[in-house]
Amino acid sequence: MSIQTHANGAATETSPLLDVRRLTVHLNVRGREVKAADGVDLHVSAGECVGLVGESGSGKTMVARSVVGLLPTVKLKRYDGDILLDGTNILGLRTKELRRARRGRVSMIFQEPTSYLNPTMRVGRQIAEALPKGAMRGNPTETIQGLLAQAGLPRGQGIERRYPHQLSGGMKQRAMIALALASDPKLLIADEPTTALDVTVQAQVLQTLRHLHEERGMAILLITHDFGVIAEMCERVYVMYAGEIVESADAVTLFEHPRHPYTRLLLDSLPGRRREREGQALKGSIPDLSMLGKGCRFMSRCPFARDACREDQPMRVRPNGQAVRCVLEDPDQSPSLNGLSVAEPGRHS
Amino acid sequence: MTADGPPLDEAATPLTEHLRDRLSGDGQALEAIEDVYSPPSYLHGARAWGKRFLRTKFGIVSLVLIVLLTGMAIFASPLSPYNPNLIVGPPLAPPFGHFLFGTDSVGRDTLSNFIYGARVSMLVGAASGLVALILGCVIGGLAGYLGRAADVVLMRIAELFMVIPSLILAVVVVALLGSQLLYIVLIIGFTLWPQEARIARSQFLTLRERDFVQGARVLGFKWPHIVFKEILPNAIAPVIVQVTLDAGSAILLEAGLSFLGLGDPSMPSWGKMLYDAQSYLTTSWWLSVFPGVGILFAVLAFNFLGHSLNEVMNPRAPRVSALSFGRRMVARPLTSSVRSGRTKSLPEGSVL
Amino acid sequence: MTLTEPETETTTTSQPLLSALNVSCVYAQAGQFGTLSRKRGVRAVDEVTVDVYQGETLAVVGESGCGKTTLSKLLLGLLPPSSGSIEYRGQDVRKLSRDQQQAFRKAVQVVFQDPLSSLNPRKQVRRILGDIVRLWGGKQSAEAINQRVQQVLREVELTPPRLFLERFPHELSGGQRQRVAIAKAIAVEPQLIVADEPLSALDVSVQGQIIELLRRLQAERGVGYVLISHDLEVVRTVADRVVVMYLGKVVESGSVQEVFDAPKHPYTRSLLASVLRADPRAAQERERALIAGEVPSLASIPTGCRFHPRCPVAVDHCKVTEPDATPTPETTHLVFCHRADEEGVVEQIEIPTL
Repeated sequence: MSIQTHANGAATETSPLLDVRRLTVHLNVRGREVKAADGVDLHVSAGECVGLVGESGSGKTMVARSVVGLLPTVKLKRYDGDILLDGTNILGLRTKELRRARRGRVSMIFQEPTSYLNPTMRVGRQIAEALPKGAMRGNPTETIQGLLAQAGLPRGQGIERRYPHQLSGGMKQRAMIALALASDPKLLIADEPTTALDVTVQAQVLQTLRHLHEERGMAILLITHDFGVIAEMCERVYVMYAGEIVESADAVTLFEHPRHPYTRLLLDSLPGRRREREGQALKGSIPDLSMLGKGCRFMSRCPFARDACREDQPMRVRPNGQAVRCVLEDPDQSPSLNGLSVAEPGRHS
Repeated sequence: MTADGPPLDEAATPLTEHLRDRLSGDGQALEAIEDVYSPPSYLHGARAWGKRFLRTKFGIVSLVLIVLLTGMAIFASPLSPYNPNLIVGPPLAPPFGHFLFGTDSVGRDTLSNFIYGARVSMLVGAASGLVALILGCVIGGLAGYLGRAADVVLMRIAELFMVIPSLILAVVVVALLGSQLLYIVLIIGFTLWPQEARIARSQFLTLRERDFVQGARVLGFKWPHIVFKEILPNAIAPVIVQVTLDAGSAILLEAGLSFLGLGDPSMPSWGKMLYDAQSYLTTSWWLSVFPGVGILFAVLAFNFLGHSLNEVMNPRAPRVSALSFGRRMVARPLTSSVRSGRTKSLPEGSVL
Repeated sequence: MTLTEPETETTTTSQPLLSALNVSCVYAQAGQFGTLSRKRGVRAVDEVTVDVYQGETLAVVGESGCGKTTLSKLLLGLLPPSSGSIEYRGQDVRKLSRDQQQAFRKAVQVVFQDPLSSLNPRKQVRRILGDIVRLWGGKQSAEAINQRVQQVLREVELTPPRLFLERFPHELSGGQRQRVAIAKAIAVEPQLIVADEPLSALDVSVQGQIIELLRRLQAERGVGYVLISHDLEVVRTVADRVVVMYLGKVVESGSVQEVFDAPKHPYTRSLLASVLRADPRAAQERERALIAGEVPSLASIPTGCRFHPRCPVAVDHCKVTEPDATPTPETTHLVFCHRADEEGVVEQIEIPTL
């Protein structure tokens, strides 16, 4: 965490760049209340790369959109919590204030670059529009080319003069990264940035993001369902399930000692890891977010479920900083209620 | 069991993974959630469609209008006080007297003509729509399904029909064959079918490449099954919507033809009433206003029907409510007004 | 449709069940005056030869534009090849008699990538499966059809079946839909299922379930798979043999051990180097040899070896001639690279150790 002092004393050494507290988003879908996110707490400090991982329906995209202020208001049933961006609470700000709060602090890139690049405008011009007002006075072309180069698009190829449809998938994604960098953000939110890309291109783009992270000291909040991407990029990870954060830990701890049964079962089901140990399979599917009751939302699929799980679970923080929303101390030590044996970590079968 | 532990909750609707693929835009994000949260038996079955149809404002209005108009057409003889062709009173008698709608220039009862006129309009609307539907589906479907040469040829034919002005066609046909109602219906149908054909063609073109159709080929189904059981039920919805809208156009076209004197002289029709009322537009208003209003309501009825069918059958259609002027769904940031009303839910039925 | 008697097993295991022999598939591009031109066409698949044997799982891997989906359509007979032929049990599928055609259709089935679009949205599960049973089962009572449908649903672990019979595809979860799609395929009792990216549209946890289902079906019924996938981890766990494609051509093929443990083609090695493993420590330690550039568009295929613009070990010769592979009796490992035989050359491209 680097020390930052601002005129208004916003971010200090101890307060994070992005602080989300008790974020709750309930949507009104076809007359039913869908609890897309409930009591989500997460934070990103300056210069960190943090991952938010979850399957579809986990609520991670709702959280991402909320942080940037992009949720359509019309279908909201309930919206609660605090989103502190560099000390400023952006929840409830008016459009103009929101824009001011975002500029220079947070930028976002999305999964499908085609949807987010204007097809009728040259790439260079789109980036120019995102530059701060002063930049247009100097040599904007130089600045634009510089941004494109940072995003991995080499100079001298006239890329800034091209239209989005003239770029390949990976190049479009890089153009979007350049666009996001135009406002010189301290935090970049990347929502599934490489899901739509080929394997080799994905690796390249992630490498670019990592370079930006290291060289600019830019914090990244990476939202994905792909554990490989998380392992490659992130220092800390939050795991979401059915609208709640169920586990948070630094990356190494999460992968080696997952404490929440969902995380554990999910990691075990990955093809690469399944060869290492035999565990139970993750059965069933995500519960209906409009019909949630009290208690742990993973209970219906959890082999370790017990009576205590019927109560709402808070996050329990362990000494090493790992936080779990589960009564179990250690799923590896607990007998599974389904009578299946529990494999010990690290043992190869 | 696909779920361990407690028994599967039959009422719970599971989420789908394709949500992830669709979350590339804010509007799309919520659309994706909407698709996912449809409770069982939400969209399927004629019964469910009927219920939804009635819930739309356009649906009820159109249904009422169509029932009224069709009822008037069917029960024309008991309803109308006089034989519309007979002279029953003094000419140009004003309305709201003995004759509710007055009489025309020779003394025929306007009300009776109005009631019988509904027959022609509703008949033409429905029949021409049917002609357009069948022609459009067959030609458009063939063009879309067969592709290549057949597509090119058939679509050029459709363009030919689109280009021919209906009036010229009507004049020619009437001059050659006479002006029976059948010919009028056919003329109008032939004018309208290219629209349906275009829609049917694009539907068939896209559906042909869909996985379930390709899968049907791999499974060994033969083309009649594929065309009629797999593709057609999925293709027909937008065509039907177009047909209902075109039924309204058909009514207008028929009125226009009758107004120009090309209509069937033996049957009373609103267009014919307008034709007869030409010289009396300023002096005897009831001769033009009543049939005009009739045409208006008939066309509106079909238009409303089309709109509500579209809302029901096409989940992506914009919901238009006659009563609120449509608060569009935009990605607005959360302003203080929303924040202050934290736990207040938006009014049910808010337009998006 | 009456059921054709299954062919007697005079075929030995040495004859492939299904083959693509030197097939090419050219998508015609718009020529002049609205015509379609073959000459300017896009060669989605270019002279590819692939054999599929009974009961095995053959994986076809590659990135976008490599032609794997087109190849799957060719194998299924959905697309006619522009040149070359597809053979079922040694017979050209275009020249089959009616009965043989039926046998071919019964033997080779498909599972698509997107479970939602692979099911008719207006048909209930009951009808989706019932139509298939009725088509292949000859004259049956409605009750018999119903029984068979329920039996098939149980096989794909959709139990209790009556819970799913009345549902429409949009009322099912993604995993359930994919199970129904698999049920469609096995209702015919095929010998081979071509699965085009069957897991890509599914959540991670569901992927594991579907993989297990496919495995179980193979163990119980002896059905083989042609698995099209871009996910190398999955391929490594489930496949017997692998074919790696790039821009319409096969660049390497062999058993899973041969290709994954000792890959010899620079592209294969680059692919393996790009795979992200769910292991943060490995990510930190490994030096990643990332490949440069992106897959070029099929409209502008490089001369000579198609991979040469991106190949770290390309030489002048590679720009001129397309590489060939000489099959040897000792090994099934084919590599289409000029420099594959040179000592230590391709090994320069580091791949992560397992």
